[in-house]
Amino acid sequence: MDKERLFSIVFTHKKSPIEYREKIAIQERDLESILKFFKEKPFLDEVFILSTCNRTEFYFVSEEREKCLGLLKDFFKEKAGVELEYFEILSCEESILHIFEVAGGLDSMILGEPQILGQVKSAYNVALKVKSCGVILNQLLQKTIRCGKRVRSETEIGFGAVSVSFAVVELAKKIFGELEGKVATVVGIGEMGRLCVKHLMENGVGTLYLCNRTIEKAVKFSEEIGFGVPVSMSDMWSVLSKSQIIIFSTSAEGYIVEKREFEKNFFRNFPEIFMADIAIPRDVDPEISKIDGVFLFDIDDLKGVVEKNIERRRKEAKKAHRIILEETNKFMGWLRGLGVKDLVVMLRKKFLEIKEREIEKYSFKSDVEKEVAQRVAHSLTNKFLHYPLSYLKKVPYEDMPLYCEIIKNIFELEEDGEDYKGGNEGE
Amino acid sequence: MGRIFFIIAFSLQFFFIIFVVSKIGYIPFSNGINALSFSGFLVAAAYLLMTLFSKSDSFSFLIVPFVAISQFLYIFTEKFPSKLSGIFDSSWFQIHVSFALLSFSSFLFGFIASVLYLMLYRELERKNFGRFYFGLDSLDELNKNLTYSTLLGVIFLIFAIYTGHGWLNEVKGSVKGISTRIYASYFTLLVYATLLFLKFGKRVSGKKISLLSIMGFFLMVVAFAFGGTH
Repeated sequence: MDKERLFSIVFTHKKSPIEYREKIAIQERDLESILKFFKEKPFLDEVFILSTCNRTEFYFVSEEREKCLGLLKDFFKEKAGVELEYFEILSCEESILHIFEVAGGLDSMILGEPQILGQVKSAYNVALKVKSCGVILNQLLQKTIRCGKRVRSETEIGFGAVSVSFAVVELAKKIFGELEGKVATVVGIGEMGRLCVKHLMENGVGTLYLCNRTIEKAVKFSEEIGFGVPVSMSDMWSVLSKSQIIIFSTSAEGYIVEKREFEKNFFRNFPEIFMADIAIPRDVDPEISKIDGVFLFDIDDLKGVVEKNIERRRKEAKKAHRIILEETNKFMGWLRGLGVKDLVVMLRKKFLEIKEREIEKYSFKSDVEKEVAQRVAHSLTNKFLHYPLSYLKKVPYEDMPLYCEIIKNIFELEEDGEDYKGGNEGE
Repeated sequence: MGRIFFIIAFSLQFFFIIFVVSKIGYIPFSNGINALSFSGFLVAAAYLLMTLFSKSDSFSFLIVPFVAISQFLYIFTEKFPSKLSGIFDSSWFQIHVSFALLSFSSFLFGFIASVLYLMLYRELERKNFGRFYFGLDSLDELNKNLTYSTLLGVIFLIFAIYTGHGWLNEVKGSVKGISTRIYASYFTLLVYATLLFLKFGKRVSGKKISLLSIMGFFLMVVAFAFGGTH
């Protein structure tokens, strides 16, 4: 009998290079058929697969670890033409801790990133559809989702922008609160400019001017996203005056907005103006930040925000870890309880049989006498059972099969038909 | 979540005060702790009203402890204190004091919002992202808090002045002359009405209105400090 039936084989961004991860990644559309394929294997009791761009993980409940490894080896050889490498085999407790960390965003490339919990949920939904999870994995995944939610609600691990483009929006929100209905201009539709546009749109910005040296590019981009007013550089000052949020992201060699020019051409309509200069070399004369009510942030300032947020998330990760450890211990406790359950049933049955046999040996003068004797015997049976059963609940999960075996031998316990599997079957 | 608990606690206290008033026939603020507890209740009322309009509770961390302590102290005092005596034994006076406290609380919130606004403004201006940057909502929300608290403060002050006059008419003959505190009230009303005019009429906002609000609050404090007693 294997010591641990629950284990996992994981390929994560920490150990596997991207070239390998992209080969073994399982697309959502293929997940159902692959789960069915694994489920059919007689040595596999339960299986769950989580595959994202940063990880491909297999959670198994089986007594045949080597066979599972062999199966995976053949599967990858056939599916992706690769050997089994860059992986980690996690024990029962390690697997629980790991999946809780994954759901909490602690194992993500960007600490606390929010998408992973949704990805775990979708993968679990597929597993539910295929019925590839049994008692253990169902419980584990439900607890995983719960743990992920706890981490996010009880800590600030997902708070604050951790990318420059998102930091632009975060800073704008610090000034204007919500961005809904605000007027924004993005000057320069490069990669960073486009990212900022995406975040501004997500935050419900009301009017968006897309200003670019080649107007055709701005028109094309505006059509692509179905939003925004394309503007040529010659009209830049007129749209800047209408805007509260201005983002510069051009590849121009020098400043395209000088302080003197700004004072001359910018007709201020709002008490606070937010300007983000994410271009290198910079597009905006830094002297402009000295004007009252103009908040100008360059790329270094934005990186400063990102760093502070990352630092803050790291601090929160410690709190998150405490939650994860607490949930892991709870789950291990549940597993132990599950392990001892069948044994408890058998032991209780045996004791009750003995009790009934002994009672039958005596003849009683009245029904009342017999009832009293039965009560005493029942009470004694419970008392005798209490200590071994309480002790068993504290036995480490991995030692459970040994303890079960010893108790079975001592009390000559017999199973009803099926093999006893150290208690991992049925709830 | 915290807001829900705050509203529940406030509602319970509200019903308790209604119960006490119906039992003894006057507002229980004749001794120090009772007065403090009742003030705490009014501070909470003014704060909830302000957040109801501004949809932002940026400085709960400052208000909640004061309210909680003031209500906690109430445990240690008599629940049904004796009546106020002399000219203070008047319903007009009790309502007048309640409105005056609501008004003062609102102006205090305006002052707090202005100070926090300037702190956050300074951090953003200096690009020093610290405690205020991470702890406060946004400049816009603090500005809304300032606007609504000033507006509510002015409304409450008008009621306070009106009920104050009602009280004055009631006790006519018992008082020697018009208290300088009445002039202080009119002066405060003038200061804050000017602030609102600048905000809505002249579209002054942001840093300037925050500075004006701080000045207004200090002027009010000075006016009342030198306004003597009733």
